[in-house]
Amino acid sequence: MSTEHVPSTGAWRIWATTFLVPVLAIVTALVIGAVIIVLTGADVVAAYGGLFTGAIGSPRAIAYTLVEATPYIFGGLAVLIGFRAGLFNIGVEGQIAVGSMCAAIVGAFVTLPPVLHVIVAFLAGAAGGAMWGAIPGWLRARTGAHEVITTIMFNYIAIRGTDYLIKVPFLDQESSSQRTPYIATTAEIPFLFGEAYRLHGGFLIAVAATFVVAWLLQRTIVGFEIRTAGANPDAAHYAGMNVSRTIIITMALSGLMAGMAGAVQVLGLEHNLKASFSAGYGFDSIAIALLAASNPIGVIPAAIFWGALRNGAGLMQLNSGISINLINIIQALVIAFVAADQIVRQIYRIRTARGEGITLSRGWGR
Amino acid sequence: MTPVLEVRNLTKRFPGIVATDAVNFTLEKGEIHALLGENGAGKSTLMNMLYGLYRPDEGHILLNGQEVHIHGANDAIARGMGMVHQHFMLVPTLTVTENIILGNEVIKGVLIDTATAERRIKELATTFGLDIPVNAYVHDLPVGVQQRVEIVKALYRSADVLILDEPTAVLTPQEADDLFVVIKRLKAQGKSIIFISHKLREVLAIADRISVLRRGKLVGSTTPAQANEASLASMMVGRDVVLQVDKAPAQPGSVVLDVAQLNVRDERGNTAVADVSFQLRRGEIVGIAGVQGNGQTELVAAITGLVNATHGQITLDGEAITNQGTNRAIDAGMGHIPEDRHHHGLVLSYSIADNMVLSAYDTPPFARGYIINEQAIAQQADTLVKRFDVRTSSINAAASTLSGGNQQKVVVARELARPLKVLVAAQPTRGLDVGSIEFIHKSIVAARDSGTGVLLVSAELDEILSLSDRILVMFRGQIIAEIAGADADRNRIGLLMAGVRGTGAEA
Amino acid sequence: MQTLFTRERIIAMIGMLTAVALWLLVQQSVPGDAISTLRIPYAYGAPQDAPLVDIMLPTALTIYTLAGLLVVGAVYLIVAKRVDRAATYMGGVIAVVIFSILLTAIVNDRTDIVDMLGRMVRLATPIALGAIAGILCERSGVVNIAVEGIMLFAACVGFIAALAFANPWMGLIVAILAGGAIVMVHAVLSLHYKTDQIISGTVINILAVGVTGYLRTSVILPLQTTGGRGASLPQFNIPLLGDIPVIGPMFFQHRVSYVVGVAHPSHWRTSARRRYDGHQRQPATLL
Repeated sequence: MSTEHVPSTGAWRIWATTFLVPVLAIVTALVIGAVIIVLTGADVVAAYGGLFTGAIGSPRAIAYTLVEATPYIFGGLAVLIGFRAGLFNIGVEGQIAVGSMCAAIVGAFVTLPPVLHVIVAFLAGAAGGAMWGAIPGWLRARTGAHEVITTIMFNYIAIRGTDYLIKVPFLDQESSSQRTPYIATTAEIPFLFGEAYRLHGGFLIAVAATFVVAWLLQRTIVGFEIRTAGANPDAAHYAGMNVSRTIIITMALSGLMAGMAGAVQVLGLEHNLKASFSAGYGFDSIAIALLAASNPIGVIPAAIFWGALRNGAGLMQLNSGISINLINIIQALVIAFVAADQIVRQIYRIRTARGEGITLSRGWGR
Repeated sequence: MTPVLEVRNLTKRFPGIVATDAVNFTLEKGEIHALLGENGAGKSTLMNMLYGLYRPDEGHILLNGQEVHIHGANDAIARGMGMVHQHFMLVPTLTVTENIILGNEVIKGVLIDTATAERRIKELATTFGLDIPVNAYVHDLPVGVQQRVEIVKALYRSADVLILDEPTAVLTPQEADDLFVVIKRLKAQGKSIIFISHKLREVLAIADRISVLRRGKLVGSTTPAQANEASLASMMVGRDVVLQVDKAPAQPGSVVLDVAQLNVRDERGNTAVADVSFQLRRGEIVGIAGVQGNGQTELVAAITGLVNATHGQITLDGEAITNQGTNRAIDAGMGHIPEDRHHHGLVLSYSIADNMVLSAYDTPPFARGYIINEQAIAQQADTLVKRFDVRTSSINAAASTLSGGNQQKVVVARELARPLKVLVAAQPTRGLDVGSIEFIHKSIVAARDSGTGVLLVSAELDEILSLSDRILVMFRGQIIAEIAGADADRNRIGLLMAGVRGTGAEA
Repeated sequence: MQTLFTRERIIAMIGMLTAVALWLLVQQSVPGDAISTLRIPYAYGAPQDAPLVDIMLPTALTIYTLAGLLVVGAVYLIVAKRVDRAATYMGGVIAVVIFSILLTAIVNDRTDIVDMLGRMVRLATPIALGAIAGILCERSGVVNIAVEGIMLFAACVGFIAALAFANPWMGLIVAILAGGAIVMVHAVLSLHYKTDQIISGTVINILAVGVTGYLRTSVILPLQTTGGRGASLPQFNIPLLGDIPVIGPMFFQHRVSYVVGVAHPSHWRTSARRRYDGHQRQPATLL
């Protein structure tokens, strides 16, 4: 799973063993989903056919899937960076909310020349998320307050807080719905193939961010510190690393990714911020980081799969009458199978590789 | 007479090694049978099979002549076996009574009947002469008393066979003597005892019979009357041990590490190091002798920057490094072979190469600016693996795949690879095979000869005696004596370690 | 610096600032002769009945008095250096603020204070039960972030059972069993398959959303259209205790809130053991 120890048997084998379990987890979850469909008396072929067509059946469907996948890529990266440092960032939801709020404000209420405006708005969103992540990091480093608790609490603050900001000070008075005004056109991230396909430049930023994160974790001193703090914090301390600083940096980077997710959603897709905008990204991001087997590059296919499920769900419901909620069930099963990989290994008789595994988080208080 | 416990041809294999190889072993009623062997000889594996924690690959276990298959600790307990682990299985935040009845509560309605339980515990304690405060919280008790709680816990569950795993490892000599009295009383009451140890002297003092394990095989049984320390030692290691290290007389230079009035608290906030002052010179090895838990761990942690001192100064070659953290100490030229290599010394999931640069990852040539230079790291790892004879298939293999001895070599290699002014070596050879011990001892002496000041902390008195040019004895957080290496007398140091201050050369 | 800003001083400062803020606020927005009425009805009084008593408070004066009390408390905290009372004082500050908001909200009007407090108890019930579930897990070293998902799942299944059997008691029983059943997922994942407990909690939370949503469309809606109707558990009015004014309607005229009282001591016997067992054993969670 981790790329720390690379046996010399060729890259293909590593990729195969790394991604075999997630792929089989998906297959198993889909099979169980089919059983549920049959039990409720619906047509499996129609349901999954609809899901498939809705997700990747046409160029437009593919584009929509990638649009759905974009925030998940950022969110998955956010959780993954935390995982690598042994931190559990449950606060992606809140960090996205803060990031999107910051981007929406700068996009709508600040006047800047073209190009510069979108960059500043994007960076504002990213910085907002980073700050919202860094505070729980600081609390963890300074007081030992567990980041799971603090990030959950910060989710509430962020979500209720942005809700208030949207509904009161930054409400678009001319609109009947509760949202901020549209951002200036100078602050928009352009669409790649025109508005009809909805696919925007944020997707490319997400892909680029993935490679930057992979490089950062694997090839830089900061990445080494993050990984060491995650693998063995005592050894990191022993080796002269500042573990507290690493925790804060990790949480800030994690929040940065989440903030970018919020920023591209506002600047690239929605062009405004609606009340209760990002519901559900937090837990899904955890799922994607797991599905990616904590490998940054793996986040892209994992997020696209997630986006495909979300995107295809509508047509599935239309074709077969199956509730969209089936997607949630399938997703939960996928996480369960990826997290408890022994189940999948038992079903498919895969032997456990030696020395694998990543400590995702530790119990309360060490 | 049928033995209480008998094992026949017991074999357990782990990937790559045979942990126990066709071991035969009997325990008679009312006998103290010592199981002697080095760390890694297979003692723990054998006991874990008896206690149902491992399933044997081959062989039989017989209890009172009946063959049994033991499924887990609960089964073992039900069959009358009790085990006192080296690391106590007590809950520090519960009282003695709560700990003892845990999982075996006397229930009255919906509440725990503490009164009845307490009465039974007191009865047991009086019968066997085990003095324990039933209402005290375990974390308030000294280790010797905690151990007694563990023994009562086993007796409370009607154990007839008691397995004591390295029971004296954490005890002072006095506490160990108290324990021996208890063990003898247990024997007199008809209990049978397996006493696991690698300490020759105490095995000779307490056991009725001694069996020696070496590399998974039972190499012989004997009695204290027939054996002596030398014969047992050679049985244990397979050859007559020469613990004497070849080294030239020390050429101490200027003071390189100056520790003044150092005070350190332990994790619970109690004073662990009290007003410790000493100086370490270039080119000498200063050994710190003492029973484990007398402040050595905290002293080392404070010197190397892992924890902050509450008072006092640490100066490394003129540079104040007190409470400046590990990074400052490393930059100032300190090397540290940590007490627990799994805890501090290594990142087990990392490759050998990454572990080889763990404390130098951010300095050239391993880092260029903020970027890691993998080529330089691989080169360094190749060099060190050869120089320190680390047995591995590849420098890219995870550190977890190495044996204990080779893991420790990685730590030693990494620390000695940097230009050091001071090397702090804490328990550098704990749990290693003889070959690795010799190699590491030689490396330490070589570091000394090249002008590094070495501070050696070890619970093994023999290691201290054979390596040190000067010996400091630590007791209850204080340095109570300083002895020149040449004058060192094992009996006198033994007494000092127990806190008995004689007359003469004391600091 | 450290000696200047001790904890009790900081908290006392917060209290005094709150008092000043209240003072200014009331001075600006509340007429001096305004009256706020708190109504206390008889134990079983209907809204239109004559009340047991109407407490008529001069709004401004009451709040000024409370603010004054905050200042007195703050001074006491600083002078007596009672750092041990700081938390209590902080609680008092919060209570005063909430009460003051209530009073200003009902200027020249009245509210049934007992009814309000009763609602509070009722709304607090699920939170209290959830918290007890969390404490149970925490005591045994189990990290349970799935309380929400468990509640959701149990509520859904219980509701279906209540509809199907047309009996709310069956709903209650089935809900409890369902909660226990879904916790087994947590137990199996985290114990048998050694999954991180936060992840298995996440699984349950997502699964609960999916399953309940799915059940709603595929089971509940059809059941309801075929004539099933939800029934509620009866309201228990505990005799005598329920007759006491104020306290009676608050605590003893509810449907389910009593469970909190019962649930609480029920972990006495096993608590010591759970604390030890830590990650080895999954306690049957109450919800």
